[in-house]
Amino acid sequence: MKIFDVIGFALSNFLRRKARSALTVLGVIIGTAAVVIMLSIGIGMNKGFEDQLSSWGSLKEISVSEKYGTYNEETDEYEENTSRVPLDDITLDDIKALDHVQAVKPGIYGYGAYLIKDGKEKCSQGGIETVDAATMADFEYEILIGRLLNEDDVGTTNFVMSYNIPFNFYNPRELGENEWFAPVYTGKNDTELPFDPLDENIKYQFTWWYGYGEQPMDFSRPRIVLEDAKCVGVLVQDKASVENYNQDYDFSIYMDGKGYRDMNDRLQKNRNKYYGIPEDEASTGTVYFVNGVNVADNTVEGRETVYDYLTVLVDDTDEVIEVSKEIMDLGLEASSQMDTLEQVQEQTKFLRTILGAIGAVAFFVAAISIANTMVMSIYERTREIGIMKVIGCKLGDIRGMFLVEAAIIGVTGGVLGVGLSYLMSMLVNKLASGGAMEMFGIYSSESAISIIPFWLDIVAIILATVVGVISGLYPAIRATRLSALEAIKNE
Amino acid sequence: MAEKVVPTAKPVIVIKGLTKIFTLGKEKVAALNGIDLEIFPTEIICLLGTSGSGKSTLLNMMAGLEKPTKGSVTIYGERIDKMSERKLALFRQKNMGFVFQSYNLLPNLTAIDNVSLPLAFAGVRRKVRTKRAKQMLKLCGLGKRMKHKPTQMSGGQQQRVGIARAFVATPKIVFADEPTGNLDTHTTIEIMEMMVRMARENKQTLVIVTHDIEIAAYADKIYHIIDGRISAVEDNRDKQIIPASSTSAEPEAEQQKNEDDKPSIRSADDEISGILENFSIETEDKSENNTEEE
Repeated sequence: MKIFDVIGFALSNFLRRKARSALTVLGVIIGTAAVVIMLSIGIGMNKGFEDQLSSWGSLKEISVSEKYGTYNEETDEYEENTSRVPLDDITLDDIKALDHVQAVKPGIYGYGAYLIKDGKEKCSQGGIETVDAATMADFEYEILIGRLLNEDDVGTTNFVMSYNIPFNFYNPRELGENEWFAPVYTGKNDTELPFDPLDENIKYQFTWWYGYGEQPMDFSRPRIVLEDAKCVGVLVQDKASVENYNQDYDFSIYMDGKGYRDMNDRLQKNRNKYYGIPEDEASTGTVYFVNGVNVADNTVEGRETVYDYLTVLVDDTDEVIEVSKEIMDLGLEASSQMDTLEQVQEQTKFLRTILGAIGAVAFFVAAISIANTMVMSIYERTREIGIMKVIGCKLGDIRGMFLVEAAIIGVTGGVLGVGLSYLMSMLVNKLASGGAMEMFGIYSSESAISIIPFWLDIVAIILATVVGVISGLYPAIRATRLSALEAIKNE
Repeated sequence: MAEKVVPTAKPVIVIKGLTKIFTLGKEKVAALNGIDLEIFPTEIICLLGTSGSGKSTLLNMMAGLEKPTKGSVTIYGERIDKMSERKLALFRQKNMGFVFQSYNLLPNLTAIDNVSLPLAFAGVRRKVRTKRAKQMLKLCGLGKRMKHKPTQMSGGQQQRVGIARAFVATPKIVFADEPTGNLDTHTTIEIMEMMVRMARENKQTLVIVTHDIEIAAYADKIYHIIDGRISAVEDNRDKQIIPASSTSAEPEAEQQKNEDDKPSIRSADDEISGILENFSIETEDKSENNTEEE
């Protein structure tokens, strides 16, 4: 028998008992829709957490800092780490050498350098944040005008502004008596920039003196040297860096790490000279106090801390946890959004399992319904099956007819069930818009509670078909075992 | 004239010591009691007996629908009683046609679809088999009822469809179990003549089971069966009823036949006959491929 004929027979049998077929299909529709909806809520929850976390920073990034000490739970005391691994170029190279590490951003909080525009306007808001100019493009910086830093900017003072910086220049001499700062603008992308930051005619300079332009100069001291710099680009609004996640808006000026360190050395020397501090007493280079501890102390092999933090970019989200562990093995602190995500997923796993189980039960009921329908159908068609056997229908073809009929029920139910689940998903999302996600501790406003990815549709339809065929298996085999003679005698 | 049976030809069906014992509660009832029988090609034979004589059981065993308790049924050298269900289905598909007392048409199929069923099982393309089924129905005088379903037809018409179905694939053997049991006398004659004529024209072996001596009169040979035994064999050739070679039950069919220059079943569709003759159990796949050729 040709396969088309087998399908034709199955189809005509399916259509013969319309009411019963429709009811069986309805069972499969409900089963499929239940599974899809339940899974889609689980997926929606996960997506919600991910959205929320990635709004705090990329899921592929790991923040690395030094390990100053640990809190001992037994003694209830804080134990200082006396052989601390500092964030210096050796550590940087160690981390770069790890597998799956795509790029490392050497971060220095460059507060204390003020940007001056055309020698008279000043921006007190922006702090310098260092990046590795060569790998800046790997991180999630989005350029609005101009370009990001690149290899050519390594070791230079070229910089990229965050969107808010141009709004924050003010002329100290034009302020009223009680005004220390000009109004702070928190620009939006749709706001036009007050001037073109990339204009060749604008002269940018950095100074170390916070009172520059605001307080009278002491001309008895050596001249304050201003460092020339060039702006190459402006970022889009609201692309806050990992370190800035507590801020609403990004106020950073991004500069190459090496370029910044050199500039900072020069600024420090100028400052020492201005205040008359002898070279040997003055500390050159970058010296920071963190938690009141001089970071130069307690380091392994007397190495010096160079960077405040490192941001490690991993090439694959799935490797983040592993790379984090390896970094911790180096004696450093490492944290990532993936840690949190994994924790949260672990916590909601139970809930998702329950949802899945509810769907599975519905599906199981549908499967029983298919099997029941097919068995009933065999009782009804006993005589026909017998006639077909006597006339010479092969057993395989009889089995095929019943399996195909069961598969037709499965496919029809699966396809319609997926359709229904889209409808229900829309309804759930509409009803639950706002509010509902907070039930699960998700505060990301854009996330939908139910998300149906395309693969779920395909899987659901395939599953429904397979369940149909499996449910049809027993009745089909039963049909082939019917005695032709008995079947014919059956009046 | 009907063809003479050649006694020296190799028998088509050979039955040896066939015994069937049914167990009813504690009692054992012998339905068949050591039957020996040989049926030759193109023979039309009749198993004549009363209800409960075992004639139907004998037919069922020839068709492989029941297994004997003892003895053997050999058709074309193949042991039917030892064949698997799978093989039997194929064997029936290729070699056997059936006409039943209660017609046994599929209720949801039209006359055309019912008739083309054996061809569908053999894997013949829809277009070819529908054409063939239409020819068969015309030959059986149902040219105007092709799209009717069994419930829309009279008993005689249903049995014509049943005969068309039995003969459509030109099987070598046709079994008819009380083919006219549910029909009036007039229709009985029409049906019997049609069946016998077709068997003759196609040189087929026809085995008729009946309790009606009137029907037995169409056979070459009559086996009287009583209590599971062949009590008498009667050579009926001298006094048998011989239907006219081109009698038609309905005027429309006759007209049709005349227009078609009196087609015989054999020549009606050589394509299918060829296919089915080449068809054998051992070369199942190959045969199916043949049917798929455009």
